[in-house]
Amino acid sequence: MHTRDTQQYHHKKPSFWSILFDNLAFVIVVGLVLFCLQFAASVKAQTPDLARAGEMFLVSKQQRVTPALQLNTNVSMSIEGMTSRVSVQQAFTNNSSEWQEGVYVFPLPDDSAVNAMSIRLGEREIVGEIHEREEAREIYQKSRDAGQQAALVEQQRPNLFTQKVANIAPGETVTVELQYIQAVRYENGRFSLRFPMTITPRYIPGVPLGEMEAQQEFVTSNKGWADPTAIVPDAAEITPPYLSLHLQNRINLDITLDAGMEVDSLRSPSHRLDILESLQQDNLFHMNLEGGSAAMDRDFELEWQPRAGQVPQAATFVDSVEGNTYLQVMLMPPQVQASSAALNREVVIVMDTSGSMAGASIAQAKRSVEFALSRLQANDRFNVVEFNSDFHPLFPESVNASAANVMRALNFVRSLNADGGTEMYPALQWALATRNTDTDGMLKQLVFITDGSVGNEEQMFTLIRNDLKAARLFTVGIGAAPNSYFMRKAAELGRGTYTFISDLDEVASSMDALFSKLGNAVMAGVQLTWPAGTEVEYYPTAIPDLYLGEPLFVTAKITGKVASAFDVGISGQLQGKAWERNLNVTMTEPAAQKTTVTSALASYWARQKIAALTDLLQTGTGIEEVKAQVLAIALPFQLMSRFSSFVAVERIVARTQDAALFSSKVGNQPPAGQLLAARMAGQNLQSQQLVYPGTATPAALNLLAGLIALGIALCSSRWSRKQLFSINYLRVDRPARDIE
Amino acid sequence: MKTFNRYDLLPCVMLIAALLFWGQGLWIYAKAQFAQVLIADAWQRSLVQPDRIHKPWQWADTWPVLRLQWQRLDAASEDLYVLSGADGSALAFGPGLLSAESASSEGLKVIAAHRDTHFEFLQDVNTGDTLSLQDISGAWHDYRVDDITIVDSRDSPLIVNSSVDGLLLITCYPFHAVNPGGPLRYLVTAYPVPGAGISLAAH
Repeated sequence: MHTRDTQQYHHKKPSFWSILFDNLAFVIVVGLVLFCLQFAASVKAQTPDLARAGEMFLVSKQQRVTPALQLNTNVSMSIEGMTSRVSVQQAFTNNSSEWQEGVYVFPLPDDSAVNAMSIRLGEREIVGEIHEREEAREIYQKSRDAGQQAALVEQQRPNLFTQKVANIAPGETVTVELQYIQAVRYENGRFSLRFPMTITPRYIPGVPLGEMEAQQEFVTSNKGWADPTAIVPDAAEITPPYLSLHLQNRINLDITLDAGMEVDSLRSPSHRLDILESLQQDNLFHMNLEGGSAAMDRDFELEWQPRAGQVPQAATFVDSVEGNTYLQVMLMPPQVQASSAALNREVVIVMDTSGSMAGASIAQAKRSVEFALSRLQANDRFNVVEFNSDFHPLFPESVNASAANVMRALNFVRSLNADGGTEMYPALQWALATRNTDTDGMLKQLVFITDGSVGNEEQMFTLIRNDLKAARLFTVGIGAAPNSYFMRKAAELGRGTYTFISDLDEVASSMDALFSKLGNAVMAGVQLTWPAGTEVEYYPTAIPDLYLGEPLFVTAKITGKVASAFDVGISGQLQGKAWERNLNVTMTEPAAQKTTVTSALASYWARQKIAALTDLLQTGTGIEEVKAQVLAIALPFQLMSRFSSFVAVERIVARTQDAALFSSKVGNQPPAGQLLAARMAGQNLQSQQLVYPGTATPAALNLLAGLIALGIALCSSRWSRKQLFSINYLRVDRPARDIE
Repeated sequence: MKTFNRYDLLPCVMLIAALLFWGQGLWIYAKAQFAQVLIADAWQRSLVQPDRIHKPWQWADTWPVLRLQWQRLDAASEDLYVLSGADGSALAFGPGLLSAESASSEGLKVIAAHRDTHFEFLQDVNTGDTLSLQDISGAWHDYRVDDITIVDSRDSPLIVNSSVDGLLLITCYPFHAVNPGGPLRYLVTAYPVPGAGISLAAH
């Protein structure tokens, strides 16, 4: 078409070269397209079979020791409304030629109510029973020594458990199944759920106690890498070994989500998923990990967002069980955007630069602090404190957020390296205590950026409880496997909120949400009014201040008979104005087969009660008194707690007394991007993990961009507008009188 | 010719952009090429005076620690000076040694370089080829290429056993990709040639 249109300009027969030259722009564009196509094809053709994930380079075959016990985990989650029922199956396979006892320290969500356990031996299933911790230990030890197959699950922290499986025959697989109930988090109109898979190495502060012979009898087979200290006497129980770098713990996930409302987006920020939408039922989704399984090197996260206009403002869930009523109430307070300029505040950023932050975490932490600094208002006062083995405040006291001060803070943060211990206590103590005449009367907000990998959580909680005063503490959990129990509880006691960041790409959105909370008014003094004459026990007993985007979430038990429908009154103060609302609750028909053990709401309520009772330890209640109260709930509700464990025993004796029993620790996988854990995993093999450097220059990209620019320049030049494109093009493009 | 009008603005801007892009791209190649000449000089000074660091130019934050040669019978060859450290500022001028402390000692040496400059030749390297490495004492060590693998850096962490004597060369893959941020890495593994002693003679 070009030749025809341009004919009027050529009176004599054109030579090959003149045609080529006249159409230079066209030739370049065609060449460019061909080049791109060829490049795309070559990339596709060259993509080879990738080496197996986790392959270890330059480590000779002899060094690749196979562990005696291999772990495979199968998790199925069933999410309905705001509750998730989860079954975790841990299969231990004995690859050695000896009888084995497996010891595995593993994480679970920090609010999980573990209410069932069983072991599977081939076709047989033995249901576990809940017992007082010491009693369960004795039962387990006795059957282990007698040669019976048995399993014991103990709680070390609300999010950290120990699994022991005795007498696994050579070549045999024993599967232990745990079931728990977890509440779905709902914030800023988005539902989310976390499932932890591995543990970031915990720092144990304090002076080692030396060989604690009295405790060693049971602990020897379970000795971790940390010695007990006066502050953390159970250090060995919470510092498990790491898998050698070439090995992996694999996990399969099978998730069913009954959203109950139209879903706008459903995704996992941490893993690639295969998502199937049910054709039979609306809003029902089924998910698996892409490729079937994944390495257990990071927390699994799932997020879903209801369609705009369907975002729930209130919800109640009711279960009538054995004459009592359990209910969950969710209510979104009105969302008022207050101007943050009105707030007179002091922001203290406390940043963890300990060894466990080395790798991806410190980069995420730095980016978070940079973001926080960029969000400061000119009339704010601020300070930055970094801590590892010691702590260093940038300024001796908080200063104005002037451009010069913020610049100094940015330079300070950028120069930090992650190394050393995690002496969190003195740093937080200083940050809570510091104040001067300028900051008197200001609202003090602490932003605490850490992976929370310490063993002295209780000590930290007591500090926050005692020293908080008028300040507010906001935790930001960093890394692939942060200590979620620490994050949530510290924020709860600090009357703030908690946020997680596991990827550099999440920093902006997560910190943005956090700073909206910091800058906006809270709903304070929330009170509940229950119908007169009802006996109600609800948790949390003191309703926390509700930040922007946060709902009120209460789990309650009503003892005895209640009306078939009643109102719960909710009131609070928002920006000095009283706010009130009634929430109507309609009872459902009591389900005959439901018991306090099978009802998710009853289990979750009991779990909340246990948490509240355990908190009494921080306010000076004796451990024996707390233990008695916890057991009075944990045993009838069949719940795991720090005072109650699950134990399952097979009656038949499997191992005869002439065969010896070996004890093997099953390692955790180093969390992704976590250099300290990777170093610990590599220690025994003298191996190390390096970071791939960027090994390509943008030179080719520059040349290509230059070529494209040249192509556009030629195509759009006056000369080629005339030559290459028809007069019609010019007529459309320019007014008629401009045509030459 | 007609006077300049607004329809000429786009081609002019694009022409300037094209020149800038090309300048930038060619500058990368030029830097990679010419820096090696200066580094060669610093390396010669290092061999004479191995007890101190010789920087190729005054403001350099890296210095040569090894010399790497590859030669085949069909006359294809490569001669490179390896710098300490493998961050972007070092790799612009030469291949970088990932852990600097292993330069003189026995053990694994991990060297990375850009796939479109210094390590472009890796696409022609075959298993069985010989790579020669000169350390700061002037001694040459021969390594035989044992394995060539391509990995996805997102799910294959770079785990090395630093106690094994060997050479691991890393570059990006595919070699002629335009986008520099791809996840694939090309790994060339070489082990010391058994029986081959250390030769002090120059190659």
